[in-house]
Amino acid sequence: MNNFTKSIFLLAGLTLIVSCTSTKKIQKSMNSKSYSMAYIMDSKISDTKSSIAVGVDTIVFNSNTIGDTTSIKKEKGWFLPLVFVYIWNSQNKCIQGKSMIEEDIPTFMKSSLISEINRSGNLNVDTLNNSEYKIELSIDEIKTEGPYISSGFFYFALYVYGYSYSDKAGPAISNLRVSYKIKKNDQVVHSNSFNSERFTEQINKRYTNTNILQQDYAISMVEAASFNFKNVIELIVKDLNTFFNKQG
Amino acid sequence: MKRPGNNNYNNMINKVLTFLLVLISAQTFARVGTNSDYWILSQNEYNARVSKGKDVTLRRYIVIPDHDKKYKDILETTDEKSLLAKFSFMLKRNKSALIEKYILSCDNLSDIHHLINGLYCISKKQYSRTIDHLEKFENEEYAFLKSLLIADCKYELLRDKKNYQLIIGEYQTAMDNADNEQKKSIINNRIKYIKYH
Repeated sequence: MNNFTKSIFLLAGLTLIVSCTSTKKIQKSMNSKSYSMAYIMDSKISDTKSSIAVGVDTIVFNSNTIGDTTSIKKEKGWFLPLVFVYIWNSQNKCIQGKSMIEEDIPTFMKSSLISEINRSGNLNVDTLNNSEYKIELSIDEIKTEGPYISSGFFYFALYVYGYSYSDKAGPAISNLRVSYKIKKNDQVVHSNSFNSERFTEQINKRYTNTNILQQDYAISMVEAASFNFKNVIELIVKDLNTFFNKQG
Repeated sequence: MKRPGNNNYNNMINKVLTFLLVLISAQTFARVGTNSDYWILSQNEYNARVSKGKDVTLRRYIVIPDHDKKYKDILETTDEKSLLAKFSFMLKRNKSALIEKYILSCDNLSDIHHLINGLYCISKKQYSRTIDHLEKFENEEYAFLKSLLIADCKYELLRDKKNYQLIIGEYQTAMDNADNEQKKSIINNRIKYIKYH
């Protein structure tokens, strides 16, 4: 093998190493920072408050519902080594972990629910633990996952060579399911369950730096989870309003 | 004797220079004076952008009820709405000489001047001074704009922008002052901007 051929193969190898984003690299980048689920409430502010107060008692959260860290799983990938052209494609699944989210999930759920009751609820939040009514919540499912695809090609012909590679992320899908019970003097008097599903928005931006793409993807996943919390919490407070209105 | 090629060359240079000038001007129009972190638009202009499907999340817009292109008589104007419309147009076009002249000579006792001075300070990136001016501004009609600008300034004053949760309550106040869907979407777009930057 002469020096020219060696250099071409070396160059091809280096290009592939540099350009093909490995699952470990994506995983490291997506676990490097956490993002806030904080959101702005836009529900109608309640203008009437009844004398009923409820205590937000327990948030049941099985920590196995969501992994500790964000994981990247390779779904399929191929590498096509033709004579003068190399083409590759790698499809991965990105699964959101707690590391991506800044807040402690049950604490966030509780504080957000209290804020929403104070805003759009026709009832009050019992902070002194005196009320006969208590709410018990359970976060049954919290899942956000979506595709991450790396692809590219490298070609050479005698003294000419070129390459191109790109990463694409999303749209991811986020799901949240929360069930809750209202207890009156420790007896369940009402229960309900709410789901919310949200797709992450396509980010209309061109990326030259894949790290920024991965960060934006992580932000969009947290944003979708945040939207689901907002949606489910609003539904719970509407349901609370309906229940307590019927109670007279 | 001139060579015919010279004229073509000069014409081409002129066209390129004109094009560059238009390009540079287009970039400066709509910003708040020299502050390119915010863009000032009238309500109609903002609506037009939205209806044309243009992206309104990549920039932070300050939406003023109206612009008035006849700004040169601002020193003789007394009507509050006209003053804001003329001054905001001057900021949009960065008419710095007249802006400075007006700020020095205007009647600071008038209520609208707290808002005008606030906008002027934003154009100079003097965010603490903007808050000082806006906190003195009491006009229900502009409650949304006032609370949005205060939230923006508090965000700008954050040492670490990643800690935006510290000031999210300010944007909540602005949201609570939003009386239509357009204003709500402006707040949601601000939060999106902040999250992705």
